[in-house]
Amino acid sequence: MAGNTSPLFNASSLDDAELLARARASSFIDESMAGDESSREESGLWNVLRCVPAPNDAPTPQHIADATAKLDAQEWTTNVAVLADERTAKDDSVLVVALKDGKVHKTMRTALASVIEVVCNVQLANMPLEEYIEWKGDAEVFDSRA
Amino acid sequence: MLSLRTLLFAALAAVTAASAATVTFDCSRVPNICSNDCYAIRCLGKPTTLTRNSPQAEDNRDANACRSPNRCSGNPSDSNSCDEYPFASTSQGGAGASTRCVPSQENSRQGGTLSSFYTRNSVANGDSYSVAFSNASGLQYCSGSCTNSGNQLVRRLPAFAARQETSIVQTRKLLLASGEEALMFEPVSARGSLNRMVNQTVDLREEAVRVVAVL
Repeated sequence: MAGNTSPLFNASSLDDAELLARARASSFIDESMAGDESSREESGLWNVLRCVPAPNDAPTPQHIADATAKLDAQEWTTNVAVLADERTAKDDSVLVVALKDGKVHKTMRTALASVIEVVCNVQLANMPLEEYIEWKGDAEVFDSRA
Repeated sequence: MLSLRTLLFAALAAVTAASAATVTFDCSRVPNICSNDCYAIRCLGKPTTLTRNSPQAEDNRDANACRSPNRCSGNPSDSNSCDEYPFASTSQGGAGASTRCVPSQENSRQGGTLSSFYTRNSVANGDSYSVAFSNASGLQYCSGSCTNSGNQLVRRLPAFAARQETSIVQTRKLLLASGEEALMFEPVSARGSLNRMVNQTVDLREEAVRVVAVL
């Protein structure tokens, strides 16, 4: 798992297990495993995100950047992080924060069910957050199912 | 005298080196991605064995036509995302990569396949792996002409300016235990090198599938 997991800072009213369960309910995992009879937990996408405590009750994107910079780079992928905040429990969205040189590069509000898809692509620079922002268009929240 | 542990370790290392993991892209889900990859491999001679180098990924993407804002930005939805081969997350990526404007959904799927493959097969930075394709029949660049239909773009560095008129790789067909087939490409200069794939596995749709025969 080393190096393939990004931090999900949880400052929401949801507990970590509930938060991850909603993210992992993504149909993206099912599509990736199409035809595979093994359990979803065995998907290589299952641990793209792991919860860590938020640096404070209402972190800004820069707080997230600073907290991410303190993580062990051998264990974590640190070019992208996610913030679950007070809005998350209300509309199932989180804030994806793309980072560059320890600073906030881009942010995008993303549906929990699409966050694994976005993060795994940004991790590998297969698709930068800019392309998802363009894909989102005028929508306030990116949702690949829309 | 070498200890038994040393000998066992050496034997394991030799086996591992001979059987690099193989990611298989299902071209029925990502046809435009497969077209770009096949073009790069068959028509430009790009390698099918890649070395993961994720720390280099963003710099690699910035070194070719996929840099942001990329040439696909603003295109219709069937071609608004920039795909590159060799992948940005490999040592072979970057300048000279073959790029193609593809649907965002396809590019996003490809990233999921690659990410999952890296994790499931413990492909760490510095590790090599191979690339294969399933359901590629009918895709021009995976078996047919290398004539550029206009969708491919390669940065015009001298080393890459000369597009190959004839392929320098040959197509090999892997028969899988699942009953499916996968394509791999073998350098003409190393005929038979893919015969080693028999009884090895390829990663297809997050499943390790055994190779029954190589044709």
